[in-house]
Amino acid sequence: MISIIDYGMGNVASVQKALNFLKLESIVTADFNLIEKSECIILPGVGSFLQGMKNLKSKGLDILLDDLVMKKKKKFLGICLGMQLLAETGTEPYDNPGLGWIKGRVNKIEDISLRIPHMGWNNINVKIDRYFSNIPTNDFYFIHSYHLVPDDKGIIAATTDYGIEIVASVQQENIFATQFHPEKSQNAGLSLLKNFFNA
Amino acid sequence: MRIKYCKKCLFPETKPDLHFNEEGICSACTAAEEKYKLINWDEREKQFKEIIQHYKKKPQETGWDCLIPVSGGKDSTYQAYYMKVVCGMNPLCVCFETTAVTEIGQKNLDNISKMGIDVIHFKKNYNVYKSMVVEGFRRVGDEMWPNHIGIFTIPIIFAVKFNIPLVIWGENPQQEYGGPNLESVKSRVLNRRWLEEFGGLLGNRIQDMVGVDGLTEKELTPYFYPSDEEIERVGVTGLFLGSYFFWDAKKQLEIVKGHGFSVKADGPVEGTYTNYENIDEKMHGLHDYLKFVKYGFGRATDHACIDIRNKRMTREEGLAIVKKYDGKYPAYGVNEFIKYSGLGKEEIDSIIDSFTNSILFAQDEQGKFIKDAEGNLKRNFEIE
Amino acid sequence: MLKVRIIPILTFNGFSLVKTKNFSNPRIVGNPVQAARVYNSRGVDELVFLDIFASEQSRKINLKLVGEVIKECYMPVAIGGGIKTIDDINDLLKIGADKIIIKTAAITDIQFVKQAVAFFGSQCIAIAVDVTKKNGQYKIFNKLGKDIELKDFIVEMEDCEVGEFVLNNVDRDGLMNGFDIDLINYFMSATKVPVIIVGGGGDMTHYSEVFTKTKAEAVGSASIFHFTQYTPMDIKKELAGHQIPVRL
Repeated sequence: MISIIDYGMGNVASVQKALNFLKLESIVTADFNLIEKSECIILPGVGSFLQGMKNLKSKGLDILLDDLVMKKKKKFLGICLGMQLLAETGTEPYDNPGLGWIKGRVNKIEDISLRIPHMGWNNINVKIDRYFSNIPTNDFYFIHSYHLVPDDKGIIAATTDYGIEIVASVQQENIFATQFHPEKSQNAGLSLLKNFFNA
Repeated sequence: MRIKYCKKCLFPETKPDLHFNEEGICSACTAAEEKYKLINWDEREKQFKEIIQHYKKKPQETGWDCLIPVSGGKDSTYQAYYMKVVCGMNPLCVCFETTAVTEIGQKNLDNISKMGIDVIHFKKNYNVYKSMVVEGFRRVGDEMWPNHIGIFTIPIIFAVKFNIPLVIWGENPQQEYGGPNLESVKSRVLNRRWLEEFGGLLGNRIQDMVGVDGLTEKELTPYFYPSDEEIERVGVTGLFLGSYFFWDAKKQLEIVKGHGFSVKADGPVEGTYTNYENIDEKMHGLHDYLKFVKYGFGRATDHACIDIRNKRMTREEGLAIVKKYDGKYPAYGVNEFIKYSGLGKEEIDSIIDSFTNSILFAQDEQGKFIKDAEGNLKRNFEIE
Repeated sequence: MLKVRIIPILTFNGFSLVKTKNFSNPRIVGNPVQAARVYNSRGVDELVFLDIFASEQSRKINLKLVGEVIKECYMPVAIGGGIKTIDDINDLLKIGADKIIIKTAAITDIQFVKQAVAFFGSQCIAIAVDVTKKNGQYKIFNKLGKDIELKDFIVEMEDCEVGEFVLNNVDRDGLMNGFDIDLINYFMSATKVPVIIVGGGGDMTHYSEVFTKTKAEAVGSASIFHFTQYTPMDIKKELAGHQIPVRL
């Protein structure tokens, strides 16, 4: 069973739909028992960093997830905001603490001539190919105005070019996360999810 | 919910491409009025005779004067009769066979050559076609999808290959069943754009079938329309006979019966009250039912509306007939489709349900459609 | 490199898909689920679904039917039509919408737009900008009797930090006679947020023109996909031939 964390931040229905398509059993939940019992945890989400942390904390999910993912090393997938929240510090709308599992900050995409948000299909450059092998295309769907800048460049699993180099994916031990939306990236995204859950 | 119906016939506002005027009259009825009153049919006939004179070969020349796409139905038999007997042309009839031809359909098709006409019966690759039948059913809720394409492309491909520029189609469906605007009703030619816009392809194109069950462009050859250059080179011109002659299906039926055309002897076709329309295809009831679940009207409505417009029936009589025949679960058609496709009944029903309009038809609290023992849906609307 | 997007637009009347010309004479073109299945099988870049009569008829968008459409889609979906409250947005996000398109409320209730952005983030909130030219000036087309200059409206919406514009050219809607290059150039230089350009696409040359002569990054279309042989993939292959980055 895969737990998709329900903390009121955006589109969880599509994540579950993608898992259903792959015939993977999942549940959208904030129930501690269910989350503890599941083999995998997905933290999805879109929207504001500050609001996201507030919502996690108000349900005590930050402490639970920290215990399960960081101490008990449960397999974890973060998507979009669910990747950004792993950082130590968010900057939206001002500096505020994240889950702190990854050393680094989440900054606004700035000083580029391109349009913001970064919205649409962009190709990625894979740095760690653990889950990125045998994927039909390397275009994925992005939609974000902030990006994660990790201190340790060694955990960057993929990048994408949008005027500046943007971290598209990170991988650190049991933690895997993507800035793009695999659940919205059609065959490429479904293949990636399949690789991750079957590994 | 309340559906608005045409004040003259029984077409509902839900019907695709139908337009209503301020008085609440549908575009099919408006076109029928024109047909009766405004169009100078003698003038049109004269124009037609002039056009075909241009294409008619001399008796000592070899070749065909025109190409007629035929199914073996009453309309195409009439087209063949008209061009051969009335106009004295030497037509080549081209048939793209239907999915599961009935005995009577086959007999009527064979009859065309007995009317003294050359016929090409295109036997298509069964497997390629079947893949598209099943995919058309799943994707757009129309198991006749590849047929809608094939009946247009195959005749045009032969017109190009055999260098026969004049192609004679039958009725103009926008004139008989209503179109979105005046141009569509008045159009006298059938070309590529017409096929894509009005051919019933439901937004799906032939290139969308590449990859289905591994299908390739090459295997789909019979379904690709010839290129603009080829059409141009031959000068292919498709004309609607119905734009030049007063189209009256029932009168024409009587004429073709005199030339060997047979009707269904054992009662009406599933889903309607007539025994002369759509008698060539075993699964037609399923096709018509899919239209019913999407838009709330079926084949009986189409037929009754034509009878009303041609003044063979009052609106009240039509209403009673539609209430009796429209929208019955097509047990025979579904059964034939099970045999043809290999899909199970449960899967077929769930695909039908996925296209069933949840505003028009009642659902229970779990969001399942309410059905009676025969599988008939419960309407949320009254036909009025 | 970011790819340009070709986005089919489904416009809905509360019952069926419809297609308008110059925002009037809606013509019924089919069943929404069947269209969603076709576009999903094509793997299109995104899908836009608009209930174009919801506000006018003062009704809410039909969540059940929209849910049936979204269920078919494994690509990003933007939904609009009669969106007035935070709850309206929440309801749509819950059934799987990715972006919300606001039109009428953006004209009548700017505080709501700000609130929506604060709640759901810029990336979630798109604004439909219906433009018509009157006496040589670009105005916001509306049935509220309001006279709004396009440039003022863009500034106002950018202040709200909306995430995207859907630029509808009312004067070209459904005519399939090409995009208004001047308007698009004007619009693209007036804003820094992404824009979906809509209105006028009818054949291949229109698309290569709009992407070579303007800074367009996304185009939305309906008529060409309803009425001609062309699919989004045909357009993208044509664009690739002009060295425009597309996802094939």
